[in-house]
Amino acid sequence: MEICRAKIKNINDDASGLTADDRAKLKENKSPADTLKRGMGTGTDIDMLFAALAIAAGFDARVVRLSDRSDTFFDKQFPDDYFIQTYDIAVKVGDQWRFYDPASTYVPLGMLRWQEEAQQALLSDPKQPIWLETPLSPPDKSKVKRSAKLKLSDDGTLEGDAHIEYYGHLSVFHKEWNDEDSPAQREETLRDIVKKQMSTADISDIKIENITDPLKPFVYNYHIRVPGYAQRTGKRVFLQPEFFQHGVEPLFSGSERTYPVYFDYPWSEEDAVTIDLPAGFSLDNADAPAPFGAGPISEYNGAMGITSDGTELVYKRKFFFGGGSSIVFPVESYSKLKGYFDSVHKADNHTVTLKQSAATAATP
Amino acid sequence: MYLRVAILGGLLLLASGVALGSPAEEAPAWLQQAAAIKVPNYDKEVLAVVLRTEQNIVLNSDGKLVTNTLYAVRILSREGRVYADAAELYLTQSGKINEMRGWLIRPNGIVKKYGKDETADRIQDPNDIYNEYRVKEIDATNDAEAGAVFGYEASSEERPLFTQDLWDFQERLPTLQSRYSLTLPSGWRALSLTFNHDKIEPTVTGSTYVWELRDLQPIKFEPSSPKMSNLAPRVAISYFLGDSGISASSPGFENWTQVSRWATDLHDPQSIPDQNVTAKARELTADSKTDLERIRAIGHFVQNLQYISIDIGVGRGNGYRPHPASQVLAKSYGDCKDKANLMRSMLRSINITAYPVAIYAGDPDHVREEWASPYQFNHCIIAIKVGDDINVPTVITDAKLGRLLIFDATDDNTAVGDLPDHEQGSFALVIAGEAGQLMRMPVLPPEDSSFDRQADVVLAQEGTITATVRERANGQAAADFRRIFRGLSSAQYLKVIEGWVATGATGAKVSRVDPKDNNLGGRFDLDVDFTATNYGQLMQNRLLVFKPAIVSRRNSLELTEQTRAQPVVLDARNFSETVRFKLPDGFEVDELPDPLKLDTSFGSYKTSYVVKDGQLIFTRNLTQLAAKIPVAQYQSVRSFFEKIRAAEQAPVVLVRK
Repeated sequence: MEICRAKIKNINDDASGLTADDRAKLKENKSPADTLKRGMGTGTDIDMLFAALAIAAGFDARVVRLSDRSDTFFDKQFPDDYFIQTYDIAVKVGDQWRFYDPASTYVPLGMLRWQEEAQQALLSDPKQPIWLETPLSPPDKSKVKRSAKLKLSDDGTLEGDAHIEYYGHLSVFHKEWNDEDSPAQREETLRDIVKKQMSTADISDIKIENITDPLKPFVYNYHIRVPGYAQRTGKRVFLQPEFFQHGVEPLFSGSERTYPVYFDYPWSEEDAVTIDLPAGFSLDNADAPAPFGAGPISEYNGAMGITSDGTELVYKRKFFFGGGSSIVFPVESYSKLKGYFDSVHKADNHTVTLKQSAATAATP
Repeated sequence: MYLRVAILGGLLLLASGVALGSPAEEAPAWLQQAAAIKVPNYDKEVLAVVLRTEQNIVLNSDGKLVTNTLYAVRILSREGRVYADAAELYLTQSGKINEMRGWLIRPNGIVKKYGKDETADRIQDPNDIYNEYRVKEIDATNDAEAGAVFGYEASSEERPLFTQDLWDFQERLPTLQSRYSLTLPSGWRALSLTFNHDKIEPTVTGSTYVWELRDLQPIKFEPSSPKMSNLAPRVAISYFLGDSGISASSPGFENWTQVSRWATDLHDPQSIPDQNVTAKARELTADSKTDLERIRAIGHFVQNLQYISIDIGVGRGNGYRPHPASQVLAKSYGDCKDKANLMRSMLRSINITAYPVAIYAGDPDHVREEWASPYQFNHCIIAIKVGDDINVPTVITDAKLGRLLIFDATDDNTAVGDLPDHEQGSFALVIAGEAGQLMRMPVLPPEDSSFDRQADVVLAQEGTITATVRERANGQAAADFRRIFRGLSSAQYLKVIEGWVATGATGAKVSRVDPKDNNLGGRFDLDVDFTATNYGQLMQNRLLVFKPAIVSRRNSLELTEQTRAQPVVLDARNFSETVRFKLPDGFEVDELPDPLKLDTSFGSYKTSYVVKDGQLIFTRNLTQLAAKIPVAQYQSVRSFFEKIRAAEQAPVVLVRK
């Protein structure tokens, strides 16, 4: 798998740097040996090379055909190959078939593109083709880990450094979004994301890592300054400690729903935010939103603490959704689902109060 | 992945026999020279730089214009590939593109050529039912890459409608050389005007005039900035036979009276009412008691005819000539000039005089007084001669034509007595023969486009709010709401309102949405009831904290950049809000935000907080004037809106007694 990813250029990949003319000039690979020798090939060439290498290593490896979940929910009772247009490789390990997608550069080992997960897959066999089901990656496989070390000024300005890592399907999404772009455009994309949440934010020292790395997580690092982040009144400052959710709008706003709700894949989030409090202010209350959940489908946990010297607020948040392979919700459950995400939004917007100490308050 | 697509793509490319490349010397010399130019360093957001843009135009003695176009652009980043595209517009009946060829010089020097087989010929606007404008296009965007130079040349000919032209020296991209050359037959002369730049004098050699600029900086996109026609340097050119003013074959114009005379000849014959037009006008106005009521009745009818534009023979001037009023009435559709003309005809049949008005829709600063040319307009409205008894804000007074009520017979969201904001203050040509002239359209004061909101809110001890919101809008504020309301199904509209409420009050349950559109009266009302649990946050069972601005103003300007290159353009707005909170028993106000009062030359803003009889009354008022604020004052306008934003986030703190 590593050879297929790191050593073979996928000429179908939009980030390969090849133009249509370049592609037209390339010779066709007639066998996996050609692909290996030339170090490049189409997505299918890479799939076939992977299968050939697996067979050479003594595994039973087959081509599987399956449908794209972003296009349709496939029903095998409707036997038309129009609906099973994508290809993966199944390798028998022990007595189990495992699925691999070496041609999709950024998809981690052990996962398929989300569009191909939880799908019926037709295993090719000259005598007895069989249907298998591809697994759905659980929430912890597609995780965003965010951390920020920030300082709050007494006028409500928040400033510091943020670090974000994306894994699994989230990583694939961000890599695909950015890989074709120039460095300037990638920075602009990040600015747009942040400014959509915090319009007054100034972002600098942007570092984006592993954009085209097939193995490592996609990473953002940046410095941020947000005037007016916290609200100052005469003797208090009101602060939303969940910095990464500041300005995020509720996921659902409509009271009615016509169609089922469909999430592409399960995901999880882990945030850790530390905020240096302004001199002369102390935390009036450190109550975090109470944890809540939806059985195996989702859980939300927020925890807040303060350093022993009372100068630094530490906020941690863990959230996952789509556990138990629950990603499609019928219209009848919309009201509950909306209520759940409204609770998430409220918890994310939880505000703490900083109280001005008596000595500071007395200062003119 | 995507096996079939990949294989088919490869086969198609091989089958089409596209030239794969050849050495750079196969590009024409002018393009090789352009490609050799050393490009200055630009900000990283500049995606491409125009190396050369040039039009060489020759007016033949038979009245035909022959144009040769040269264009070269260097792609600076991957996103800049979209600029590797050539498009030449032509009119099917009066023009043609004789030849069009393109080249892409790759960073490695290999050249790809684009000829006839790679040139598409398509309709300009695929949404139009009928359109005589077509485009020839070479699209090299999929072949281009950062570092490549794309260039093309085209040769075209046309019989011009007017002996006038406009040359934009650049678009948003930086441009190193921009040149417009005009060669006239003997005995002709050209005059030019310069916009958005110091006067650009042409170099004249024999009968050839050349206007040229070099090293033009990029024009960055900034929100609420002037339109490109008021930013990029441009020259407007008129050319004449001898000193007589107008050529035999095509009109050139030296003043607005000439344009008025020309346009009057196109409009007047089409506006003669027949029996059907007269009968319809009488039917519509049968119950009307005043001229204003008659105008309203006819205006409302015409605005609500289907908008369909079919211009046959644009090259012969039919883009400026309305269809006969009788025909538009019979077919029940037309474009802006058809509607204005039908309204004029109907008014005429009941003895009310009106004139068509040529205007530019979309930018009140577009039309320049100093250049008398129909090319400056893209829209037609109407000026109705009225007596002293009619007093609406859209009446202007002209010394020759008297009191004129200006009305847009196409914009069915804007009632009589109002005018779309993008037309207010614009120069427009009142087409009235010898008496016609360019006039400044009325600018309505902020109170004629106002938006008032009253809200009664009950705040419970645990922070839940139950709110009744009543919005009352008039003028262009009402037109904005009406546009949204009419453009959506009731279910979609409900979603929009729920989304707006939820943005301010998470998890709000909207129980009533009651819009009332009074189009003829120029008003739009909206009543909304909702509840939002835990809107206020109860802290330690002691403090109850909430934001008194429960829903957004709907329109807000956020100037997030620290610096600015272009002026800030503001529309006129007038917003007022009063929110009355019934405070929960057992709580009293501990802290209120400081009231804010801002007064500037472009607007004012004020908040107030009053606690009385268990109620908190919060008010906010914004008056924004239509203004173009120079760059030097950017920090003050940015600060104005930033202070408003901060004030609207400010919380009220209640404490348990």
